[in-house]
Amino acid sequence: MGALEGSLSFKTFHVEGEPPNDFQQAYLHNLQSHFFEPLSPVGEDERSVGWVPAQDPIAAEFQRNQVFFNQYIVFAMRIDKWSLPTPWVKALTKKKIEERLPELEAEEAKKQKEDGKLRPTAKLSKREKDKIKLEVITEVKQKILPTMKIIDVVWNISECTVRFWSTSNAVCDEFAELFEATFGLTLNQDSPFLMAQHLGMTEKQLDSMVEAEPWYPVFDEQ
Amino acid sequence: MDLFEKIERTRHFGELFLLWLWYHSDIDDTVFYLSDGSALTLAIDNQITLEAKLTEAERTVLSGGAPADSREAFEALRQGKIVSQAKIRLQRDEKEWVFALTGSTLSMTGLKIPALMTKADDDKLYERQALIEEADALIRGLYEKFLTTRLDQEAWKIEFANICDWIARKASGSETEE
Repeated sequence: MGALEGSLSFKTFHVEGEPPNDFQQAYLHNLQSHFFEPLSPVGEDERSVGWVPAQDPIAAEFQRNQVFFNQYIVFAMRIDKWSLPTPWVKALTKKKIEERLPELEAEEAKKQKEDGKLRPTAKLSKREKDKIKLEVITEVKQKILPTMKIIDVVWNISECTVRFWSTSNAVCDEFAELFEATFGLTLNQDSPFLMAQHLGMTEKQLDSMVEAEPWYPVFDEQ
Repeated sequence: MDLFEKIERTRHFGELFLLWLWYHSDIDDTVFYLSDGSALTLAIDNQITLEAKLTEAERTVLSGGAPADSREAFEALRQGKIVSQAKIRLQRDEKEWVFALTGSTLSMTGLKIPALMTKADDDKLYERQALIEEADALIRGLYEKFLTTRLDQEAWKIEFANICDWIARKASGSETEE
């Protein structure tokens, strides 16, 4: 959230590279090709990340009028993640294992009756236990929804800046990677140096910034 | 040197910028003039974070009241701590913005913008973006002013000496300003 309502904590990125002339057509296509794919309870993915319309994060596709607003391109990054209720998974797995044990004991007793060989107390192998746990996880996933995070993106095409409504470094890095993969343009997070560059400081001034040593007030101990 | 290195090497400019804003806000009674001659007021609000550069764990967060006027804050500066973040209250015309500005990135967090006049979603988007961009432009304008002084060796020597005097005066509790 952030572009239309809610909290205003964001990071600003500078876009390196020029948009093509027909950028609306091209970028709509690019957004659609990196559209968010929902998680499946039977799938192996624990997390899914992709673009969605900022105004309708559960929509199946982008509509042009949801994305382009004069100089702004507006969309959102959706991150879904399975957040399993661990106590439930543990309890259900334990119950299933306990239910399986009498069956196993009966099988062992039958074998012993047939061949007369003594066997140790029946118990499930780690592989069997893991298999049961996976079955339980799949059952649990069918009863819950993944957690969903929606983070707005506002790209000012005329100023070559992107505002991303998250301040988490890990999420910002993931955003920059997905943005580059989607549009083929590099993003650089705002910083004192880039701000100076975009203010139109000369190469000489920028060089002196790079060469400058930090100035911190120093006082004699009294 | 690649861009990444240049970005990392110059992060201290942002921290110094926060100190410069604090200094001018105090000595110029919160009034700043941009290079186009327009005026705005900027004050350090109710939170300021100071950090020791050498020992990263040493951090002083002063909040509530007017931390930028406290002797504790100036004592931290006198001990060599840098301003890593400050909550800023910015006003121009009838509009007011409040946000935390981080020195190393110059990013704004928890930005509060003036109340919106529009109700329709599309108009709200334009108005919100315009207000965010206005606050951003004001900070950039101030940063440009700071850089002009900072990159002028002679001007900066004088400015920095004044900043050190100001810190020493405030830390000792002796208000000797005219």
